[in-house]
Amino acid sequence: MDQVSRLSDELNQKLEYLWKSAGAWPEYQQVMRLALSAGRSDKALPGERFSHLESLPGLCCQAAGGAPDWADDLTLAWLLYYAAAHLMDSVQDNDDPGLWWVEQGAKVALSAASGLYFSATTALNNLAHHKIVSPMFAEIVRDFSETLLVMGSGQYADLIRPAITLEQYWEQAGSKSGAFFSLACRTGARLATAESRRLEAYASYGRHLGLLVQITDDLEDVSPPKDTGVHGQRRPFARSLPVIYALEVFPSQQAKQLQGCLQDAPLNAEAAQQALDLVDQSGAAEYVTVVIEQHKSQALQALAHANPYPPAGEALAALVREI
Amino acid sequence: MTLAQVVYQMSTDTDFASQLFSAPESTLDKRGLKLSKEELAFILTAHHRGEQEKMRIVALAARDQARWIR
Repeated sequence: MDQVSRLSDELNQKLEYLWKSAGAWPEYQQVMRLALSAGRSDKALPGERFSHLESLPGLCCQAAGGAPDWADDLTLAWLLYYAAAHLMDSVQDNDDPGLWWVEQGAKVALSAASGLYFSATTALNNLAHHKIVSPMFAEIVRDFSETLLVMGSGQYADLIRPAITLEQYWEQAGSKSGAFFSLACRTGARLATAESRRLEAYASYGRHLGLLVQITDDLEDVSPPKDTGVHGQRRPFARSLPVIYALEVFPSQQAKQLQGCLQDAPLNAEAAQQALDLVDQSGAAEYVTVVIEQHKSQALQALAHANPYPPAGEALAALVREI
Repeated sequence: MTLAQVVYQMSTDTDFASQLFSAPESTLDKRGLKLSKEELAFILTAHHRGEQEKMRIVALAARDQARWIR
């Protein structure tokens, strides 16, 4: 059994036990299961697309000298917070609802997200009962709480800013995806080492990896939806990195033209194509390629500074190279 | 956001792009732009790749998504 399969089985068992022992009602457990499995088919959890990222905290723990299973509760908490935050974001951003909550509406999605948050907190609390990692419990809980507050700040800024500059884009991406992946790596490694220099290196590795994940997610929004009957562009395209870049560098006339196309793009294939053509004219593909290469290089440099033990260190490097 | 400005100028101004290739530092200085050596190296590599085949954002998205699917 490979490490990802072992982890998935272990985490599923832990989660089912957690819900049962906490007394969560069967129908509430079911809606949280639905939220998680729906998430795995898109990107709420590092699912099909990110299955190898599920092992991130465990790999960092192992690379810092620990055993991979020391990080199981921490990993479960991290994945549940990820799923909960993604679901809340979907509701706040008015994204298309998932099939499991389209009928009953956002109130059901928010209830499931709350359940996932409480489940994550309970999973994190289980670290206190682990023989080896319990001394780090308070420090790790504080790190999670502080990081989640930073992420909440980034999400709030995203909600209240009608338009963002390229600088604000990077600030928000850093406070959300960057901070969250940094947390996974820093706390995973913290289970095995207290060396601040190495912990900072793991945090930096995670931050760059998180930004790479964000860029890849944004690229997903570039491709028009398939098999949905929608002929235009996805709504999140208008706030994706290639578009933010183009609006930043274009002279005002071209920027206005792009904004006009973006307004019509969700329902109009012609406007969607014009928007893509303008984005191409701006050199967005070159810019995105450059920043991907830059973050990959910075992630690998940070990893080298962490002096990771093999084979986990090699697996962490492979995660970056595969992007 | 100097990096973005330099990429844009390279994409829209072929003279600037060829000057940047032949004399990177003085070309940036003349326009009051500053890049780290690392940023410059990434830009020149990406632009060189893009010259062989014009990069399109949809193609880049398809390529990067395919790499991540397991």
